[in-house]
Amino acid sequence: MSTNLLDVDQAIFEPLLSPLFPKATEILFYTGNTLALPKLMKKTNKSITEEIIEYISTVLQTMRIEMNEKQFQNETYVKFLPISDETSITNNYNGTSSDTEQLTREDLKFSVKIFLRSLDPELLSHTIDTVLNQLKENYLESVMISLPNLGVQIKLDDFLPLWRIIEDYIDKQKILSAGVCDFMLPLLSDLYDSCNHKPYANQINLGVCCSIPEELNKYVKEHNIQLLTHSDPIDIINETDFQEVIRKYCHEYDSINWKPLSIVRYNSVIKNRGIIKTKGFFIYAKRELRMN
Amino acid sequence: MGLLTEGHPLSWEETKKYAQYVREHGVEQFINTYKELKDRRNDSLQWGDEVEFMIIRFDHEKKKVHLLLKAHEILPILMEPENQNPDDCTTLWRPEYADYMIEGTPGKPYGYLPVHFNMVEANMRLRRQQGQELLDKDEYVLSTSNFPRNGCPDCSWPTYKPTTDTSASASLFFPDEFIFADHPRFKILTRNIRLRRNSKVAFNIPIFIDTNTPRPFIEDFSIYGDTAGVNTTAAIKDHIYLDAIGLGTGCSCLQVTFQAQSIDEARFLYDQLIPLTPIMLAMSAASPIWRGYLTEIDCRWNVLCAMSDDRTTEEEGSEPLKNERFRIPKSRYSSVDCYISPDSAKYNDQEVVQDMNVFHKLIENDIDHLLAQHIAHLFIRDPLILFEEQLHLDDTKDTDLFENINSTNWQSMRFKPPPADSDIGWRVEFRPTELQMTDFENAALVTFIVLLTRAILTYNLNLLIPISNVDENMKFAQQRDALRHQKFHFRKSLATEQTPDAPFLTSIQKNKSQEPEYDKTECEHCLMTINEIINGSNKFVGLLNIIQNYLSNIDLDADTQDTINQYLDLISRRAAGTLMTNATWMRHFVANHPVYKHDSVVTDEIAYDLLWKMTKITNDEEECPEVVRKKPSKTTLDVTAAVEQDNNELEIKQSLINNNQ
Repeated sequence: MSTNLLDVDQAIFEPLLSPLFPKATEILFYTGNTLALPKLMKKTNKSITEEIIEYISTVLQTMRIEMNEKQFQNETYVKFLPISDETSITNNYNGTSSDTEQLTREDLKFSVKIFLRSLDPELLSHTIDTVLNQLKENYLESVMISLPNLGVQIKLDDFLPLWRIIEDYIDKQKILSAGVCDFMLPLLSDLYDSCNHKPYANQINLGVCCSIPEELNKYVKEHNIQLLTHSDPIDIINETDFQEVIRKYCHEYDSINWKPLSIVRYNSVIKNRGIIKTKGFFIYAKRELRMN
Repeated sequence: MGLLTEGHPLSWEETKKYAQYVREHGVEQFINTYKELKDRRNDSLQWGDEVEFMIIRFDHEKKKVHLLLKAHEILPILMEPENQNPDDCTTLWRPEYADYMIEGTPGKPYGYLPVHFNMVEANMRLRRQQGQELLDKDEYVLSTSNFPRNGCPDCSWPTYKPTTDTSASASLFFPDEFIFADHPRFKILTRNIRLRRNSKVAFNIPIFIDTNTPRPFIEDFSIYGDTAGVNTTAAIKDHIYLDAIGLGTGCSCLQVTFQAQSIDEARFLYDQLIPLTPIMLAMSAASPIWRGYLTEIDCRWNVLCAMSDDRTTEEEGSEPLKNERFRIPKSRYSSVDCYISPDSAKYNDQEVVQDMNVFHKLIENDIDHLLAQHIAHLFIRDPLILFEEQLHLDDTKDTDLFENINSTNWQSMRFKPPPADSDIGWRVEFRPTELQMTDFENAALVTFIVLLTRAILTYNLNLLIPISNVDENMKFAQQRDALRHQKFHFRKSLATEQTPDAPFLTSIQKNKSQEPEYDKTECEHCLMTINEIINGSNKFVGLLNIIQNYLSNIDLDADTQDTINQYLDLISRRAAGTLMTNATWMRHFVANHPVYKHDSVVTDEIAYDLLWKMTKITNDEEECPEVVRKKPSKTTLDVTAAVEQDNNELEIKQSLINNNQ
């Protein structure tokens, strides 16, 4: 996609006669920098799920309106990317704000939260690589891994392969610090004891566990793990919702079988001033196609 | 607190003689500072609060409460750690106008880590404790905007009678002995303001008419002495008459100062916070009682404006201009008169009185119009106090004479250039907020302002409305129960064009300016209640929603999150009217007091009970659910080790990577 997104509120679409991406088995939505005022200033906070569904809707609607429907006919990996100017903002740190800002990479802190919907270590690698490539960054300061089940249900042996991937990126200095989400004891301590690069933080949802268990509090303080908070839902987006939003704007065959596998939320903050510079999402899904 | 220069103060006549000298050199000093430091960049966020505590004494037997004139005894002890080890204090102390005031600030500024928001309350509490430790039985540190019976007979301990013929203020109500004497500044200010304007300061506050208030209300001043009649020509009926600088400057403020990354950012934030000054004033209202009477105002601001007013009758406009240079519409203590960023010019819709010599001098030195106007406006004032040692300075290095004028313009915002010989950058001071009775509330207000600045910078918001509307708001804000009953001019849409591109979002949001019916003359602002401004409505986003959006993108540790949530909850409920302001609560307390006769009079006994209750609330011995609803706070003085470690690690790694690249 290489065009500005249009005002799509009133668009009504004719049913399509044939699918738009019949060969696609992988799909990626990358929002670019979403820090935008007009929407923010009109509505109250949306959940991350709503934000993502809304973004995907708009992207697909715009594609329909512009009738760029041929472009993905032969693609196996369909990528909806922001316009090229967009990505330059994340690299041109002077950005659109005042000319007096002279930011360097060191002034920024990139934080990434990866919501995984599968325990496949290769998925994690692919996701991290995609983020690094699209953001055009050599390293990320903080990466948090989140799994759809609450930490209490996953077993260490299932999680360790994922953490090994992370450690690999840390060794290569592509990730500087990494953490986990919704881990309780004993999973957190088991992980801590089994790994080389210790998690620097554990993110918990205060809405779900209203008060922090005393022993968890004690453990994190003793082991220098930051206890951070989040208010993300357990599952960011499921198959049904993802397929439905595609079905709404595309051909029915375009929507079948998609399984969202990883969702990433990232932001960059001007470290020593507490100002958010960029924010965005990646949504990656896969499917198997039955050949006709 | 102002500039506490040591040395030999000049008499008023000499000070006046040097007025032009001070101005010329002050401007020179500013120009040098500007040239040297205008390109300073990337200063980190550092900020701090100032709390002006009061010390009081209870006489439980006689049911009386006094202002305790003990600051001169305890301040030297409080300031000792700074003398020993100036770089390593958790708190810093300064004297203020009155001997019953002690001003405390954090020892080191708070920084940019989210966890710093969790330290503010703990540091305020520590300051309170440090003051409290030095007091005797029945003596307490209190934080509130105004002592309700200040200026009433025997309101201090020790007690003193005002001596109108010999005192610096010539006040009927406020003895000289109240003024902090260990630094000459305050008495000199008092004397010089009166000498310059050639009369006593005077202000009349409308009395709150209750069911039994005498109509008309005319105060009997004979109890204040034989000369009382001569002294009260300025009093008017149905009003409470104030005649002493100290009745204004002896009030307490809550101020926040923060460092910007550059001069441009400082000017930007200065402007953006101006529309918030009346809003925060209304939200923090805490001064309904003056000289023992319930009044129609809830805030100290206008009282301070009048009590610090050094204008002569010619300057005020009640006499034609002969000897003075300018007609000046406002006191040197007042709300700001103009925005100072180049982009804000169209919102300066009021005439700004300026010293045109100063203006031209600045323009010649490549300072832009808006900043030159601001400085030229500040420099219409005379110096009020001058020390011999300030007369012969090096203008390329010192800033004392600039600060002399800058710091005696007491406005709702202050733009602060870097001081000489320091590593401090361009700063902005937010000054209107009234001091609340609990550390929790004060921390909440201060945190709200700082978070709002982060959100404004993140989302490139614009809050500006014409400055005349801000001045109107300042009037609305101070009225009785303004928070629940008044509407304020506020900008309708805070979006700007300078937001980072986000094509998909601009498509979702109809871009109004592209619609053919878009009316460019449509007003950018409208009247809103505090509830709408803070909590939003179906037409306006609400400042709290903006802050919440910002916070959702920041890594907050659980304790800080909890603390901030409680602070924002307080702000939200107070704006909605489900929690009271301090002022409303005090009115209720008086109205429901068994001894109150519904005649607007707050007697010694009522004041005693009110302040005793406040003291217990402040010290967590009693609750005040009408004003504050909170769980035990997680506030702490220490930045946790984990955070420090994380930051150190990042620094190391980043330099590693940079070395490799």
